[in-house]
Amino acid sequence: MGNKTFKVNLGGIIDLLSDHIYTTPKIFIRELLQNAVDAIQAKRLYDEHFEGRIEVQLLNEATSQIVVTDNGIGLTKEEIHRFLAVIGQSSKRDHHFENDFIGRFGIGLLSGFVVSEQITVKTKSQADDKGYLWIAQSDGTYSLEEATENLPLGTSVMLTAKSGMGYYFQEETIQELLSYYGEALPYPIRFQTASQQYHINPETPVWLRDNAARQALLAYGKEHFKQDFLDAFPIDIEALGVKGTGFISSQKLHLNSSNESKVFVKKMLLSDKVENLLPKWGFFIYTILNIDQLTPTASRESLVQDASYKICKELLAEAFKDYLKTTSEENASLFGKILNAHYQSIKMLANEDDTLLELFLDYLVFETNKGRKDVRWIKQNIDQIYFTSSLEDFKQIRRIANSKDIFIINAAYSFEEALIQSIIKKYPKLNIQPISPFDVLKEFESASPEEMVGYQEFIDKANLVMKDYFCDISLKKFLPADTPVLLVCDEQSIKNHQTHKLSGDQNNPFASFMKTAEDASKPSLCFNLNNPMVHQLLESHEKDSFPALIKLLYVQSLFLGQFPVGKGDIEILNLSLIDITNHTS
Amino acid sequence: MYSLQIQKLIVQKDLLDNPIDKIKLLQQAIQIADAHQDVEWAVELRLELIDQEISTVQRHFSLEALSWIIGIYEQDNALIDENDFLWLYIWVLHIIMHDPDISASQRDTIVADFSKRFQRNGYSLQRLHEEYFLLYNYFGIQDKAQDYQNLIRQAPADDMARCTGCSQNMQVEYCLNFGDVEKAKVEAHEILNRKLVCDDCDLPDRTLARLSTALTKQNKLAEAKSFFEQGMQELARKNFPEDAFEWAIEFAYYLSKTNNAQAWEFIETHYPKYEPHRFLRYQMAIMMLGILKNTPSEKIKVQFPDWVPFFQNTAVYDKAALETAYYQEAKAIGQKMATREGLPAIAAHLDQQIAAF
Repeated sequence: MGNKTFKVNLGGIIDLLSDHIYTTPKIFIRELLQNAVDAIQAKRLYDEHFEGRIEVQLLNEATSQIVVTDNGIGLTKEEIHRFLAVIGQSSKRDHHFENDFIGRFGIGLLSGFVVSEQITVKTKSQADDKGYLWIAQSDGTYSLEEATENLPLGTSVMLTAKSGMGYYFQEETIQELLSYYGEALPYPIRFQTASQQYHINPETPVWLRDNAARQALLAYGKEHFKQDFLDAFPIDIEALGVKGTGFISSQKLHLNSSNESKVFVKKMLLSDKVENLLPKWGFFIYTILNIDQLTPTASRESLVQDASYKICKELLAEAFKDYLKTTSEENASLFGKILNAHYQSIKMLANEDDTLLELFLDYLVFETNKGRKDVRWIKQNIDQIYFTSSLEDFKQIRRIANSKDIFIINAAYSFEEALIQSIIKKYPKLNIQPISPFDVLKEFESASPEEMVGYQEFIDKANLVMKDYFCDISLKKFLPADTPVLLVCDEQSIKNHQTHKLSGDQNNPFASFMKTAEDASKPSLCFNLNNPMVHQLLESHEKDSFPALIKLLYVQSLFLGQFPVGKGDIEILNLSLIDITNHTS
Repeated sequence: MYSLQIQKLIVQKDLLDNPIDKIKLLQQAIQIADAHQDVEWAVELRLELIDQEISTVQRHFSLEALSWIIGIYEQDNALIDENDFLWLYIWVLHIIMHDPDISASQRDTIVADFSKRFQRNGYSLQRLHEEYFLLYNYFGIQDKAQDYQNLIRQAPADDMARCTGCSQNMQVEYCLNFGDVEKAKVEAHEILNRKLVCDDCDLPDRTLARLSTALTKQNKLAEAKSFFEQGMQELARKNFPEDAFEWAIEFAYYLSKTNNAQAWEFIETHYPKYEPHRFLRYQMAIMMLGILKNTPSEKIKVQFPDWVPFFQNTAVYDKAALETAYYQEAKAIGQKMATREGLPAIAAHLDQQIAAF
């Protein structure tokens, strides 16, 4: 029979190939296994007790040839013409039982060309009394002839390594790839070399078994992920055919760790790094899952993110929550270890879910002006709770709050403000209110109108000094008395203040853009009338050293409030000290 | 400890989808880094802030953030590598070139600084020439656009160069702006058949939008339809990001001729929720004038976001009032750009565009 040319199904294959659907040559093993599994599945549609098997032979490591044989349904001559000769068409597409097959794209065989110049298929179908030999070349030509030998029912595919692909035809590589992709496949896979036979999947992997022992799961997790786990728990979502195991990491993971899961679809490995399937807060949970009801993408290396995918994601999140809730109720010691290792994630989790908020509330720890306190302590000891939602605010208020016996939570960090709002909503009896530096400033006692008349000249002169530093001046009485001055600001005013600083840098090409409107809100440099030094200062505004003293106190307020202190501020400090030294010497 | 706090904010930011929300968290993280004098974090976070702002319709923070970084670099160039911020400097240069409120002398100061930094790090000025090209090309100043096109060709491409797709799209837009739609289609071929794809530059969406508009203007609606449909598919795939409104509105222009009611539904759904930067408002005003021209009704029921200066709670607008509002806004911005560039032709751009609708 002469050579013929492929009929190219443009819609099917060219686009896929041009988009480089496969990321690595090693997937040819997966595709060969896939075709074998599909052929067996097809045969089982007619005989549900049929026992399928897959045999892989390394014919000759030196010449690098492998043959993958299945005892599945085989192809008739007509089917060979329909399915093998028209690239991009799949025998699976037309089938009523499409969902029983893993592969849906019918291009799997083509991946053989990634590693081989030639694909040889020997096949015999029960529906045809003859067997056939189909040989395809990577240049797009193929030949089809009747087999001269007596073929068994089923299909065998032979590949010969092309130049540079020998690595993928080595015994060790093939064994590793067969185990990697076929670990969970339901049909026995045997790998035969010249000297040895391996049984690749002798039993159902432990992560997929019903009632697997915890210790066995932990041992598997340790071997597979190369780390110790605090716990392992079964995951079983019947509705979507999701089954597998979750492993609780014992390591304090970086919060940016991506929670990848190893996913099998219909027991064939899809990827060991499927991203975004698990909730982000579950970054400390590793999973190995088999999913029957989700659709792989064209490359079969990730999942199509359709409606079922979203439902699966939600159900997995629910399964994790159930596990954590049960553990908190039934195994306090283990729960404590998990909480300790993954506190931030737990906090985020509690923020998303009322039930879990209730469950975890007492364990949540916040930074407060009285140190780090958990909610249980706060509930027992504090009647009125304030919180700030920005770190700047907390830093400013903290010092004063201590002297006034106010209790303040710093809710500036991740998830905390939202968490506090959820707590307020769910536990209104816990008297929690927001507070800002300006609220505190308002609560400071003002000088009497008579006193203010006497201080006006000070305020005017101090305002003049601070004009270049974008601050207003105010006078109040507050505690602690040893704090002479505070820089009181909100988010906008401190931003204006910083922008103003940038505009003064003559070396910066952007300085001219950094204009701040005259009427923009400014921080207030608030002098403490309870402070003896401030009283001295009020009397000394006529002195030459007055501007330097005001500037010095301004820099002190930056330090006290833990505001950014830049090179310019240090310069103000130094020049002021020199100025004061000059005026006192 | 504070480093962990910053990392927590970064994680929280990564959980969000809206870049404006992400920016808020980055600002918190920057405050922490500044308070602890942690220059490394402070720089990295500001670079991320600029990067996030690229995905918004606003331009509030990038200048200040880059200004801060340059300030730090000038204080002590051992603290950061100048190369770390040059890539985002291109973006900031784009903002400056297109912001009518930035004066010519401010612009020139930045251009000189940009050139100095690029050249001393061994990069050509191709990106600078491209920014001038984009500006003049948009306003239809052909001789200047050609001059800069020549300069772009002469400057060697380097690591700072645009991707091939974006460079090709510039060619497409040049052909469209100067009336050669057929040549534009040829130039667009590799973008449209997805040989040149770039998510960063929103290809092929913007190319499809430009072609759809050019053909709609010529009443070649059947041909425009295929570009419109592909473009809408692309935008739907990306869930209609707000910063894509620059070209999304061009699809509304196609709809205004083929299904006017749907055009207004589209506008109501996708009009930016946050107040966009001035140049985008100029572009939007022009397209809205085209859409209004194709709208037969004198009363238009549409819910605009409340930042628009002509906002009404009733959500019913007089067509004439909208036309006046958009025209005046575009006129003011065009005049300002014309004055800055010393090119009266820029001020004429608005009326030329309206005439072409």
